Formats: sequence, structure tokens, C-alpha cells
Amino acid sequence: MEPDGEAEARRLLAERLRTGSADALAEAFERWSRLIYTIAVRSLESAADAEDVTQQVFLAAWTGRHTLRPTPDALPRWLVGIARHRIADTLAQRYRGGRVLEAVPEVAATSAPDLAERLALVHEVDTLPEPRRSVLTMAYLHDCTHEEIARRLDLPVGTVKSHLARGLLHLRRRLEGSE
Amino acid sequence: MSVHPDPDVLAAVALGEHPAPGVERHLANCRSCATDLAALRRLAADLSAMEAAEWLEPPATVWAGIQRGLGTGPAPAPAVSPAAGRPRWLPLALAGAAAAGVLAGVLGARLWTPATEQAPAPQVMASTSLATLDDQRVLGEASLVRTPTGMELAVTTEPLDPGSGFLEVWLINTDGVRMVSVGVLADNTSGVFSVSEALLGQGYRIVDVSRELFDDQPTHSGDSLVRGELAV
Repeated sequence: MEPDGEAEARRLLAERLRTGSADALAEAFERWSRLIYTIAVRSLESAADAEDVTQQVFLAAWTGRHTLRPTPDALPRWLVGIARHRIADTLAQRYRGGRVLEAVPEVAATSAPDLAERLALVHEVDTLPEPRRSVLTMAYLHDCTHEEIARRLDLPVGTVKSHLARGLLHLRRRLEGSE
Repeated sequence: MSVHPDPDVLAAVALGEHPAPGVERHLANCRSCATDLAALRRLAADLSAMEAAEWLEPPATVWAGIQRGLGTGPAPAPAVSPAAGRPRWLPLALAGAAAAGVLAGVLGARLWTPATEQAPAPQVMASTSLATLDDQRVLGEASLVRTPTGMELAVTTEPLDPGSGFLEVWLINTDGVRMVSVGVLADNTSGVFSVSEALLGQGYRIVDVSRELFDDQPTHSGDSLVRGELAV
């Protein structure tokens, strides 16, 4: 297992947040507010509601910080989980507001959990260290062959393959915890 | 049983490389490695299906609002609640139409959806009070709500003491043996959890809130605080 400084940094961040460090909350916001806000905007199709949800997610993370497990994957998963609930609440409020007709197509078009999971995965890829991020982005988003990636990044093909394999393990640890 | 292959080897196989004969034999016989390989293959498939995302930056007012919230006490309310009436998510022109009542209904139906796709408003399917196991003091309640996106279990309680751990919500089967975790009661008083209807049909109807320790033991601690059965 290769050393993962990022995993240790996340575990420490969760630990600091749990013990009440407001700086840790600011750091968590810096790392994950774009993910949370993007999930909210795309689920709710309203910048104003997405701003409310993003604010609520980080405030809820603060008030509930005692329950956070200090593991590397806990914090992002937890934030995304809270965001899902708040988005569902906001959608439910819209229904209760008697705006059923207008709200239905949005719900049908953006199944919130899948969207959140998909975006969380892309976000993890985007925050991988280089050149691993570029290797995975070229392979999965641009469908480049191993040879193309090797040529464009000036790396041996074997190194590209190894980045893809280790990237997969890396993402699995970040997304699913250390199973 | 041969030695487990290196994780790098499993990942390469998940990405389509043909395993060496020894590895192939091992995978056929080792449940743990086969499970790992299946998970890595699922993740590789998710990666292949992913699309690039444009990350949106929340406006500075969001962080400012959080800081204000932190200053006001242990359970700050967000600056603006989404429950507050104004339909800000509607484009302005349509918000105007909404004020015109009937017109909005007609317009909405025409523009966005055929009538058959309309989902029902959230509907409470069952609810129960949550009471302590020893002296049956009612400390909260749980409701099963059908929403357009699926079933949700809403749990609210008086502030419960998580001790040095946290509070976890479970659905226990009426057989009294099987149970599943549905989530964590993050603020110790309320939570809304997605639950599958199939689960309820199989008898997972007893809502249980337990006190769990940060011990990485995923099973129920046995320390139940309150419980109630949904009459589904």
C-alpha cells in the first residue's frame, strides 16, 4: 500500500473538526464547498436554494461535529450525505408549497443521490495529485489510449498503467474507507 | 490457499489485464480477493461513465453566513430558510405567473410535464412514538413518508445523550433478529433517512435509536435508547 498523505491529512482534519476547531471547518469548506454547492445547484436548479443548502450543510457539520468519525473518508462522505438530505428537504418544501406542477420535471430529471455520487467521484479524481489526475482524466474523460497518454504526458506506458491501477486503489480507499 | 495477490495486481485485472494463471486460480478460490476485484471493477465502470464537471464556486455570502451562524450559539439557523415562502427557484416571469393562480397551473402543466407524470405530495404512510425500553417514556417519534423520490424515515427525538459516541438509527426486523442501520442522528435530535420500501415489506419495521461508540464496529451496540414499531 503506497503512503497516502492526503488520507492522513483528511483524518487529521476530521479529528480537528470533531474537537471543535473553527479553522478545520474553514478548511473543510475550502476543500468541499464547490462539490456541495455544485451538487445543490444541479439538483435544485436554483442558485439561491443551493446557497442555502450549502450554508446549512456546513452549519450542520459544525453542530454535529461530535458524531464525526475521525477516518480519512468520513468527512466528504458525511458532507455529501447531509447535502442529500437538505436537498430532499428543499424539494419536499417545494411540494408542500403547492408548486407540484413546476417541480416535478426537475425531480424526474435529476435523481439526487446518483448525481451526488457521480459528482463526488469526479471531485475525487480532480483532487488527485499530478500526474495521476491527468492520467485518469485523459483515460476516463477523454477516452485516450495508454499510448496516447504516455506520449502526451511524456511518460513510459508502464508508468501510465501503474497510475491507472494505483489511481483506482487510491479512489477506492477515499470513497469507501479503508476496507 | 495461495498467497493473496498484491492490490496493484487486482487493480490491473479490474482494468482489463489478463491475470497470470496463479492469480486466476487464486481468484477462483478466494472470496475476499474476488469481492475486492468486484468492487474495483464497479469503480472502474463508474469512472468510465463519468462526465467532466464544471465546479461552481459558492458566492462569498455563503461562508459569511456560516461564520455568522457559528457566532450565534450551538444550533444556529441558516440566514435564509428555504421554507420561507418566496419561490426563488422560479424564473421571475414564471413567479409572476404563479401569482396569477390558475394561469400558473395551466402554464406549468403545459410547459413542464404531462399530467400523468405528476408525483403525489409527500404522504405519511405510518408513524410511531419512540419510547424507552424500560419504562416506556415517549421521547420522540418516527414517521415513514412517501415522497416523489422514494420512502423516507423521519426521526425526531428530545435531545438524547450520545455518551462518548454517537446515535444511530436502525430498522429491526419483526423477527427480532435481523436489523439494518439507516443512518446517524447527526444532531442528536433529528434526521431524515432514505429507506427502501422492499425492506419494510420484509418486516424491517421497528425503529430503534442506539448509542454507538467510535469503535469501527458496524454492528448494533445493544445499547438501545428508544424504540417504536411502524404499523405499515
